[in-house]
Amino acid sequence: MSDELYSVLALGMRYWFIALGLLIVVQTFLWLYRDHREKHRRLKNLPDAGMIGEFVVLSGSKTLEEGRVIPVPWEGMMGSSGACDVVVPSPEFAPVHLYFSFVKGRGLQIETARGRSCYVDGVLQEYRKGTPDGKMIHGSILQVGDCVLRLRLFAGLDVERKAARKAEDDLKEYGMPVASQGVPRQGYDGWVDPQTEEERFTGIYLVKDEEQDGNEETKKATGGSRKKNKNR
Amino acid sequence: MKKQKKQQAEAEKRIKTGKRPGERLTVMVMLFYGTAFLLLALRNAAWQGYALALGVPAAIWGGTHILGRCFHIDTLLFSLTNFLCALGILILYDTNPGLAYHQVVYYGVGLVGMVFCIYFMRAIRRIRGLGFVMIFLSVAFLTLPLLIGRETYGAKNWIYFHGISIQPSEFVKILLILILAWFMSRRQFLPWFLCAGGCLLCLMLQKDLGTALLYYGVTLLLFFASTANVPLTLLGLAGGGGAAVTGYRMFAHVKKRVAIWRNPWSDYENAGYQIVQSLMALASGSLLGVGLGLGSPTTIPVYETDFIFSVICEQFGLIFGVCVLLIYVAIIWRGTTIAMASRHSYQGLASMGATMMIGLQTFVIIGGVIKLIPLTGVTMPFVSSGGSSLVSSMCLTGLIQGVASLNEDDLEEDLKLTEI
Repeated sequence: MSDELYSVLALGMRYWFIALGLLIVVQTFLWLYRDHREKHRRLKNLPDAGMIGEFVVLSGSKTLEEGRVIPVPWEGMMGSSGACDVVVPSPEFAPVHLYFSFVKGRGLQIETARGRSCYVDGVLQEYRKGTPDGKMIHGSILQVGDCVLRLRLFAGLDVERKAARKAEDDLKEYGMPVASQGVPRQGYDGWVDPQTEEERFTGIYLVKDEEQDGNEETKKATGGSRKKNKNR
Repeated sequence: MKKQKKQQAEAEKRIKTGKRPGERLTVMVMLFYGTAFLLLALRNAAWQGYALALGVPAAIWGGTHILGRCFHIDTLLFSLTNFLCALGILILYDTNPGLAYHQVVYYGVGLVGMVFCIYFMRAIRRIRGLGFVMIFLSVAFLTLPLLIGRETYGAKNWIYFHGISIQPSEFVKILLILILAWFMSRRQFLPWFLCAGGCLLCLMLQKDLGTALLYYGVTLLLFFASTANVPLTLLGLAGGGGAAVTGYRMFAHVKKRVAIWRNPWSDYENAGYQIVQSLMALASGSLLGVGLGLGSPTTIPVYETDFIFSVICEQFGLIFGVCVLLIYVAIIWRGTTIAMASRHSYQGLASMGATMMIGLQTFVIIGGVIKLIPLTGVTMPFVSSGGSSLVSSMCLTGLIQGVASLNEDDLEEDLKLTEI
């Protein structure tokens, strides 16, 4: 191709390239906007997305009222500072009191910050090199000073349910009474207190149906179900 | 209600079949490069041009669709990086075809690196003891140019091995981000601080101040992202300012660069020649450009690496230059969104670090080219010629892609929970 012809062609094609460049940018930002909208829609359907459970305040202080629910993400810092992932507005907690991370099948691992301590299910946890992290499972209690928090886990619910079914079948096979056949126990704010190790691990209790007030009918449920939390 | 359900079903179907709402974007990128390479092929009448006119769009389409089926990769991010990589190949094919063929090979290596980084992020979720090995490797790699390197453009940051030149600081970027993310997420101050300090010291000794600026900036930004500690971040910023002043007083070539930045026309035939030529290229390109394959981009010294943005603006115009900048903005936006959606602080910080590295590098080089800040010798991510730069940029994208795929896995698990 001659240089003159190429020059004319290249000059004409400038507009094509600029138009395509602009279209690519517009399409990119439209895509970003659509994804942003889709993410919001998904989060609307999944209000607990990104959370593995919640802490319920059983006993607090002036600034931390009883019954308060604090969502717990997969991992992060817990303390009274606003920069923490789990903010507990209580003077009992240090600005950064402990670090936590959720490990599938093992629960919430707790590691206290240097110079801090807490109780997990009555066992003292404090910062010391070489010591194992504290482990919190569904229903475990965290105590810092006078503040008492109970952990409810959502994550791993399917695993819990499978384990529960297997445990129930095993008990039936040996002709032993299943936990769900016992007397229903209504604890704090509809919360069922797991009293045995079996209940804690299998998650089978008898719960009074909150939606049918006055109705004596009870139903079997797995501990800390998402539906129950949403209703509350 | 019915409409909502229908929309949701359509969205799920789109995800299952791999069709995203931005499918058109891939087609536009393919169209852009198909026509651009064809135009250059008509001028040169060389078969390589026709091969690129067919091969580049085919690679973009294949990469987006094949890789998208292997992992939950972020297709938008992948399309945008592909666009920038292909832009680099296009400009190099126009100005120096030999470099373009090399760049195609480096792009292939970069793709392999990206896939490796995606696997790495997915497979190794906890670095643990590997963190200290990485610290050792980082410092060892950065010491190599001091021992066996050669000085290029005032900095001793390259090593030559059997005819291949490698810039170790480009690969240490990836290690540094992983180290910072891991130790910052574990709240262990000393290891990352010593590692960052050691790396900066090596870079200062190599006189590679541009890369040192990038390392320092990313460390500071990640520190802020992990702790939200404003006073200490400001203190770090002040420390960086102090170090810059000390560098200005210590190094003669820094003084020279600042002087050129303030008034390049005072010595436009010698020290200021490069920046003056760059500014003239920007001016001659004006809004619409002089046309692909026209103009005289090769008059700018080191046009293929540091000044490739000037060549783009000269040939395609300032409007297109702004479009390229907006694409970088979109990459940074996407990377930040992925980092913020991550549920694990290590992965979130790794993704944020990779995004910050790309963003800061783009700002430093384009700021230098348009005379916004003094010029430092760093490359334009994905676009500039050079294997080390392209492969490391692709690996950084791989880290972000890995986190994006993990986020999708987590979201799928959440969806499963609602089905119980």
